[in-house]
Amino acid sequence: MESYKGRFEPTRFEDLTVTVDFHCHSACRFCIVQEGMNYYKGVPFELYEAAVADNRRAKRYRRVTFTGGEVTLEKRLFDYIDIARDSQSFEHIRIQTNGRLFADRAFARRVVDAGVDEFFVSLHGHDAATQDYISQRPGSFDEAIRGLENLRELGVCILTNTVLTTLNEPTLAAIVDTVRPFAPARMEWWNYLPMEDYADELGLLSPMSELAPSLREALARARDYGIESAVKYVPRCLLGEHGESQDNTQPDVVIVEEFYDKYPKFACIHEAACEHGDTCLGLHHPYITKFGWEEDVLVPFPRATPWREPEYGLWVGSDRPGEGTAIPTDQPRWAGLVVGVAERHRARLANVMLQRRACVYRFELGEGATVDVLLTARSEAPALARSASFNLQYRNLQADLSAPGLRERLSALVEDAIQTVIARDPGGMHLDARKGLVGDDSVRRRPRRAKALRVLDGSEP
Amino acid sequence: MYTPTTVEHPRHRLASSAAAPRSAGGERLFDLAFAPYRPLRPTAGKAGGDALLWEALQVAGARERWEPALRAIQRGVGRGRTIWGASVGAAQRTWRLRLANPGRVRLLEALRAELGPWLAVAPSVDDDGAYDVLGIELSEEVAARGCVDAVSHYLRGAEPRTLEVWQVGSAGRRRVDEVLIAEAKREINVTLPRIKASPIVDFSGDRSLLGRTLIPELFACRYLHVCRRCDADALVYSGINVDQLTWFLSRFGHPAALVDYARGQRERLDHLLFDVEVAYRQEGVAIVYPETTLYGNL
Repeated sequence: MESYKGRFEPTRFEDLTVTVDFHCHSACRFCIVQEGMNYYKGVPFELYEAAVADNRRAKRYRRVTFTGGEVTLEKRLFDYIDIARDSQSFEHIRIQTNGRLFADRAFARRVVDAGVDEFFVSLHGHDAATQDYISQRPGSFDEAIRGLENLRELGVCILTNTVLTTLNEPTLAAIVDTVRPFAPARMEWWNYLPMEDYADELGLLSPMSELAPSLREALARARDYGIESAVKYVPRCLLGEHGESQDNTQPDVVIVEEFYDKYPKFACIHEAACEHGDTCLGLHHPYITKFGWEEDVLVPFPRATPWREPEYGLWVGSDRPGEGTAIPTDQPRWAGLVVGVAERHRARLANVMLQRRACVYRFELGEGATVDVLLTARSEAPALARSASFNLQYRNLQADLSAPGLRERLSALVEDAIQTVIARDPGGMHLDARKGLVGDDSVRRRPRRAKALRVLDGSEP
Repeated sequence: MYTPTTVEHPRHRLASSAAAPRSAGGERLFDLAFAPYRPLRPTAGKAGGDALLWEALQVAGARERWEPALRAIQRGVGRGRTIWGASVGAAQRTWRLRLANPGRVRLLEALRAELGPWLAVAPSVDDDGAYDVLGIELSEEVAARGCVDAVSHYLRGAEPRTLEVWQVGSAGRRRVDEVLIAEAKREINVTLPRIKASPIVDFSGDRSLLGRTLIPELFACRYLHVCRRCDADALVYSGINVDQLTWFLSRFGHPAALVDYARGQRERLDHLLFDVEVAYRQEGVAIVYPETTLYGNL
């Protein structure tokens, strides 16, 4: 089996996740789309085909991951796999699963033979009592374990995923013992995100004073076994010597846009003082509302560089390794859209920031003057100009415009950048594949009672 | 030409009004401390800073009553120097105005002249102009009486970046608020001790209370104003975006029609920053919010 290193680096523009459907035969108590399962639709097959066709041309993604719901229930699962495999544009095909159906060895073999080489298996309890209570399906633990055994025998790459809640918080290290025989390449630990129970009326949010020690014990045990870990949504300063295991990145996800409207946001009271303030999300808002800011528990890592309010949220990629603070990617064609512009204006292209919904070019003109040229998906929204693929704007102007000639230089630079992008944009460049799922077509017809559903924000008077 | 003034904060020093940012329509944008800011987006086709005020008045059924007087201020004495506020509380809905007075002129007299056709303004108060900001509150009660009994004088405090607010009226002069202004994230070490040293909320008894007083959804703002009043504390989140504004309006029970308006007009409002105020106090183990206010430029 190929070594872990180099395969799962968080270069998230290399990963594409496709939400096939939202049906599931488990009913995990923490499921972030419990209600959404009633009305979210999966990706239309045609959109998936288009995404694969695009990848065949652009080689944008190295991996495609199928998720749900429980993707193994999908009738067209093998159609999805076949298209990905036949495109020969992905190095890896992954399935995110509860693992239960892989207890059927013949099914497991068929999926592997079809081309799936990575299995991201959810295991939220160390034993049947815990896991079955969480999944609300007796026997689900035993099925998942048999599934893992089959996958192990088939020699594929196994990863595990554990959602951290009060239900399993005391026994996290025991989960490591449970999965160790299957030699997972990685164990992922995702702190619970309440998307439909913002006030945590179910009591699933575990206070950091209890969660962090238990998680550190589990991380230490995994390290002792030679298993790499990745932690999401737990502050880095609470991970102790395992801080490097924090990985809050996510792949591009083709999913109904509404899903992200309810996705919790994060904050940290020490953000400006912490060296990792740009990448460590801190605590999510529901947690802060329930337990407070943990201002005395969180300890900022001293900053080596001045803090600056991120204008666009987290960066997920930069074309200029070493130039900026963002994670490097290998997407030179984004930088290529404006190559030469800075030099024509005695300026410097300080960074190219790729995000899910924007590409930002930050130009520096010296003496602290900076301006960002921003590309977003082409639409009818107000914009300075449009290229074949994008709406173009400038933003985040930081300059003393009373300096002689500076306004004119900035204007000329922005104008040049915009005209250059327009000239070079070949069309068909995508920032956010999810855009295809916005609108009424992305959801099922909701039952009448569902109209009354809302995201509890913990703020009812 | 008018030059905005403000409390003593580095960011709040302007070289000149000519250098102040203007929208395409010539509108100068500034926050609750009268510190100017540049619009977040190109302003062509966008709404003005007063758009939400008119909508809030409309939704409250108060536009007909107050718009003529507010327009008079907007055109006259308050031009380019006025903040409006729309408050929702348990008792009544109020409309606040704050007028900057950088030259320490007799602004109250000018305001009286402007509002004369509709209201008397603190007739018992002698106007010496010794205030940096002048504030008044309008309400149905004020309309019924035809008189604003008291005004607010905002003065630079003894310490840097502080304000004192004095209520001045026929009953005399009393301090009603002390305000500390600091950058929200960068200077949390300045504001947090002030917030936690509250006589209103016992943070030492329940650490989680801070999560409901320093609202996480609003923390991503530019400045925090920590306000200490007689019967409540308050935090002003200065410089939130339109998405945070929509959340705030919805969360704190502002009229649904106003929430819908902000949501529906998002593309026309996304160049603006907004200031919102959340007053709070502790009742038993709960934090209650007696009044919340949305601010904008008139």
